[in-house]
Amino acid sequence: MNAEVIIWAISGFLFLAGAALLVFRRQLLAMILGLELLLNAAGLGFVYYSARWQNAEGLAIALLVIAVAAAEAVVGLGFLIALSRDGSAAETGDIRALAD
Amino acid sequence: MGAIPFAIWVLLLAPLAALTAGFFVFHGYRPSRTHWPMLASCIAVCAASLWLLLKVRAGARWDLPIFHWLVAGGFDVDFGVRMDGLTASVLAMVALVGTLIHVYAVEYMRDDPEFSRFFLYFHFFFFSMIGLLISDNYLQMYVFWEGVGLASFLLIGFWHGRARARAAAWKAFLVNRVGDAGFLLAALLLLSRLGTVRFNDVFGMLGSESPRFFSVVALLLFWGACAKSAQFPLHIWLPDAMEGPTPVSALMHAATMVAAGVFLMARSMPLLEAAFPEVRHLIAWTGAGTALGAAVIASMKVDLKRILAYSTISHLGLMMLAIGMGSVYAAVFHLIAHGFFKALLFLCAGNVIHGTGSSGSVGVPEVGGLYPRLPRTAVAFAIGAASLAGFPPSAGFYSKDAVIDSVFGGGGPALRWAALLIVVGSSFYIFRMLFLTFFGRRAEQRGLEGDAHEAVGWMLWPVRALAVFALAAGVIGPSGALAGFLGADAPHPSFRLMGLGVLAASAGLGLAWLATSVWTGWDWAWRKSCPRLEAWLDGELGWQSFMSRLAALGERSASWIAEGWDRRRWDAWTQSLADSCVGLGEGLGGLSRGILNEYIWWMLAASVVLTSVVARCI
Repeated sequence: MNAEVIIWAISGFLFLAGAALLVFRRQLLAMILGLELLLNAAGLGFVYYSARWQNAEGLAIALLVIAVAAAEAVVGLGFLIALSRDGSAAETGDIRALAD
Repeated sequence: MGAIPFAIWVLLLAPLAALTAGFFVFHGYRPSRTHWPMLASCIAVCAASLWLLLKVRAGARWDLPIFHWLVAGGFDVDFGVRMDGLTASVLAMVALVGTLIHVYAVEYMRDDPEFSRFFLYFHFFFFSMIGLLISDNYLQMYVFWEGVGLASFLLIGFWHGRARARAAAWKAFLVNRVGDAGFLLAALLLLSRLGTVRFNDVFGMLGSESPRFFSVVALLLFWGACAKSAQFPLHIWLPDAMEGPTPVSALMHAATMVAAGVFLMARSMPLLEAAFPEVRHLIAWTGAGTALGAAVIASMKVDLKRILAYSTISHLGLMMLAIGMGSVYAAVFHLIAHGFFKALLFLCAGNVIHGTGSSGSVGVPEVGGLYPRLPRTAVAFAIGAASLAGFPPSAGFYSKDAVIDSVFGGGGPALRWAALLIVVGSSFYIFRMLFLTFFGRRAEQRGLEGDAHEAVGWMLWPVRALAVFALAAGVIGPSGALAGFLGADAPHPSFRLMGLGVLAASAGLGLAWLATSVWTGWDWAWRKSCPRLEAWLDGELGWQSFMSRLAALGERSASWIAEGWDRRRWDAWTQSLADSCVGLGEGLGGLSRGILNEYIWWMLAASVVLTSVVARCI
């Protein structure tokens, strides 16, 4: 079993796990976790192909993705904290200010 | 030619300045003095039009654009003035009569709480008519034509507290709109086919299109003139227009409103000559039929102003008859003479109404034997009646003679007999009115005249002046002055026709004397014995009930279309479209329940589908 297949399997598993978290869990924290998994599943692929084809662009994009993920985590966690301070539950189903 | 003379600027700007001052200054601050600028403007217009009359008599003609008015692409209409013999002669009459009626109206409307508003409308009426007369193209004329229509609407409905006045105003306005559509279509046809609406250019291009085209244009113009000049079948607004104050009726019947249609046809005479001769036959027959029918109806009406209204319709029919005979000279001569004597008769009727203290109108059943109480009005009325009936040496004698002359020159025996019968009829109804109102009192008359009083001061002077004109204005005919203005052949007096005319008028006078003074109860007796005949005549020989039925038919078919086609089909279709949109929205709305996971699910699913599609395409 060569490295490419292993990498694709791990990446695919991470992506599916992240998607499952996003779709099936209702806690905001879990959904942010799922989002991180999605991003990292993509980042893994970039790093592998960068090493394989000796091209630094893939690494650069992986770094960018990590930066974006960090920024996204800051926004998402800040959002979460603000909601829990507000007394609202951390469940997405309870956030209906825009729906109603 | 040359530059536009000062007098023409006065014609346009003096009324405008008076209206501006009246509206912005007097109406707000000195409403009881609003007539000051109007009278000043009238005097200026009078002076200017008389100066122009002299100039035109000396041979001057102006036909000049003043400024670019409507410009859009190849479409270019100038605002201009045309001052030729036709304009100058009609304008002089309009200015004189209009000014005298203005003077009269000051006293007549003195106690009206809305004196100021009345004078603003009144002068706007006058201004629109002047603009109409001096226009040099059809489109500009149309604008002033509409101005005249608007002013008549405002003035007929001036006492808008009365339901009948409001209804009459709407009727006049709507019927005139029907006619205006014809005028507008004619102007647009000329513009689209000839590329110009200037009288001069149009009359210079008469060879470039087929007679059929000019026939269509002439018929459309005549349709417009029918509405303004109250010809069958669009005459129906004029009798109801009596709901306005009496000076308005005088102005409308003499100088401003109804003269416009005849003036339009006189102006378009070259165009009529380029059309098929059948068009002129139609005009002649319409005029003769209208004149005869209106004379019959005027002979049995009892309301003073309504008798005069039908008399106006009848005389306009005579003018149209002359137009149909191709004689601009006879039509314009009669227009001018009619302007003087009809204004005089209306002002006399106004004196009677004012003198008896009646608020609206009075009629034969209310007043009789007024001569001892209103002697001056009675004499003036008698002069007007003699002029209308066509007794020498009044203006009406010469102008009617000109019309009869044109009919005997170009018409068949039927038209000749019709013309003579119209003369008999006019003489009959006007002397019947004179005798019933002023001379002798019948047992059937209720006698409102008990405390009637003669008009005073400023109400009498215009009447006196108009009486002089009604008597003496005929000199423009036999002296050849008017013929010179219009470029027509010098009139050739035919003593045979003059004798016939006087004979016909005397026959009418004799009949009227028999019917009112020998058999005094006749006017009441025949109504009692044949009430159905009276109803038939009162309803304009059945025409009114026919019109009502026609209107009801129109209403029913419109409602059938509205119900069957619009509501059942078109509305149902649009309704189903709207319903399906609502259903679609409700169905899709179920997808967005505010649950974040669902959104992400749909997003992922869509990404997978789109990615697979894109991957397949690559």
